[in-house]
Amino acid sequence: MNRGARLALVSLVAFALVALLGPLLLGFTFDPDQINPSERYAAPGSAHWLGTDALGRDVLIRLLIGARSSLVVAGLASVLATIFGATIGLYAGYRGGLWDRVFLRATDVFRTVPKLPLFILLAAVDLRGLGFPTGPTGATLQLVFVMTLVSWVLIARLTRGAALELRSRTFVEAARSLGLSEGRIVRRHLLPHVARPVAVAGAMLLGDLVLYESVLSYLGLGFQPPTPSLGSLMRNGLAELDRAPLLTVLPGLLTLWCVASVHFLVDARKIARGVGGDPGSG
Amino acid sequence: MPTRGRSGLRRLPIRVLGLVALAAVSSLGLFSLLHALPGDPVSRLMFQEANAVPEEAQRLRRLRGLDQPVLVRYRCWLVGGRERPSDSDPCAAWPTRGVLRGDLGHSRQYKLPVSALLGPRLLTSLSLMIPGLLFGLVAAIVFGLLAAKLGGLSDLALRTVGVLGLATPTHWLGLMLIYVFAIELGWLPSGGRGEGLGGGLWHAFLPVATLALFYFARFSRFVRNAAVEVLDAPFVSVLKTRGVSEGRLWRAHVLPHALLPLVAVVGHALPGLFSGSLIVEKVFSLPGVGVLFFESLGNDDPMVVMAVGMLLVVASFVATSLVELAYFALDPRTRSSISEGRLS
Repeated sequence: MNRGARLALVSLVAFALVALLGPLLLGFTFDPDQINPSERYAAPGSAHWLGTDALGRDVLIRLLIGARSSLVVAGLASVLATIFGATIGLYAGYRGGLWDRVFLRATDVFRTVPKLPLFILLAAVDLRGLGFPTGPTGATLQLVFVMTLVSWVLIARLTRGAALELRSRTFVEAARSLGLSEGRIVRRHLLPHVARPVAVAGAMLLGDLVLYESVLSYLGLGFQPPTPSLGSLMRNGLAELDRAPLLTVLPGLLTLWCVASVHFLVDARKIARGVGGDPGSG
Repeated sequence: MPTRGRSGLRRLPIRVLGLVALAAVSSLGLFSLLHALPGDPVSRLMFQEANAVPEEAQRLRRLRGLDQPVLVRYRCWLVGGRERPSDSDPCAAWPTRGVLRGDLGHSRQYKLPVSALLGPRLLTSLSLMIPGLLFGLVAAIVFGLLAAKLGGLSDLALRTVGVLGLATPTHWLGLMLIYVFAIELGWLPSGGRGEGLGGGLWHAFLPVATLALFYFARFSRFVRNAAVEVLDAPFVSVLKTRGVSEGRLWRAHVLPHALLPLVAVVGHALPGLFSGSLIVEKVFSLPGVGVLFFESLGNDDPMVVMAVGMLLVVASFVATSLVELAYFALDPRTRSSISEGRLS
């Protein structure tokens, strides 16, 4: 791992720590929903480190909780999509045959569907009928569900391609001729070889999903007020862009911190391996 | 997945087949999902009327055709009702001749035929998407080639800008441009459309710049890497030792090799253009198709959602396929250069 990659990794871990531990540490001192009419638009100071918003709520604690909401959604969804997608991709690539071809054609077509309108539609659908709770938990679960549903395909295609290449290699043939079961070959012989590219794709997915959460909540889907997320904070700040620009600037900078760390990490790894970074291939 | 040794045209039938399958699956999916949107429209209406009675809801549901099963209504949307309306016609509440006969239905919100509504909206979106893509692409080519040629600090700068561009939420970028150029500096309008050609261009500046920056970030590194790869290739050294002039080397050898794969990358990025346009339309309050889709979902305007949704899906597929076919025609090798995608 070169210096650039290490730096990016440190930055990403730092973001995760700030997002996950920050609300816990500051939660004793500040209440994210505490409305305070006498302290509207307070400037940053000792009482409120980053000032207050239109309702006198502390900006810092809301930012931290917002970062946590976004990271939890994107993190859960990217992990689920990676596990699910890698499993299907491995088996599709290893087995080949009719179902593999059907899978390939279907995803070929699915790739051309514009993702944001699809996310908008799925995020707007009422999932309470399927037993989803309401409130922030419901929003989190729905976003995770919807994001996993759409993005596992991407990972599956990538894994499938890698598995297809490995299939005819001699060590896999040897394993087959020794009579190992399919499950064992896939898990013990294919998985270790695809783990790295899949992990990189999963990391890229995390970055993309943070961006999608942001835009969905910005549009008023996803997290609803007063629950903060990086997107819904921007939505709140929108009306006060002229008088309190920080309310919009800060959530964007946090998003940028998280996603740019991911991209620099992936990019630095590619440079280290001597592979050109390709914006299309992630 | 590109297939070895097949020409572009041989792939046409499978593309058409794909289009039909896509249209069928996505229209049925979209139609069914529409009825899973929060609170069916009638209960929402009833909620607003304090002294409404359940019988009224029943009547309203019948009037809107909501008492019919989804599949029956889907059939109405596809092929329309009977020639002469009657009480027993399940499609009586859907005054349309059916999509397959070229009738997209009526918008409940705008009191217009959907086809009349779509025209100007589409024009607005295209006038964002096409210049945005072109400017982004041209800038990416120019700066990508420059970085490849100069190397060093300019290379690092391009890489940094590219990564930061990929990581910036597009709506936030738009808001920041509004804040700086419209609110603080007051140079440019923050949204809406201008009067006449000059005003139109004036108002289009920030939205188009947002989209162009988005595409610059996506393409610039690809151009730079492709050019560096070509410059390192043995045939370039051979040409140099044979004394081919710098200008000729770039024009006749480096550019074609470096830019050809870009066609595939652009094709792959086209679906993202619809997403990007939706965001920009929303941020800059422009009445395009993306915003129409988003708002019709909330406005209980199913005919519009269906029409716009299908338009987005079909147009995106056709555009992507056309670029892919062009790529196959341009590059006879057509191996696996078509990149596996990000969520675009």
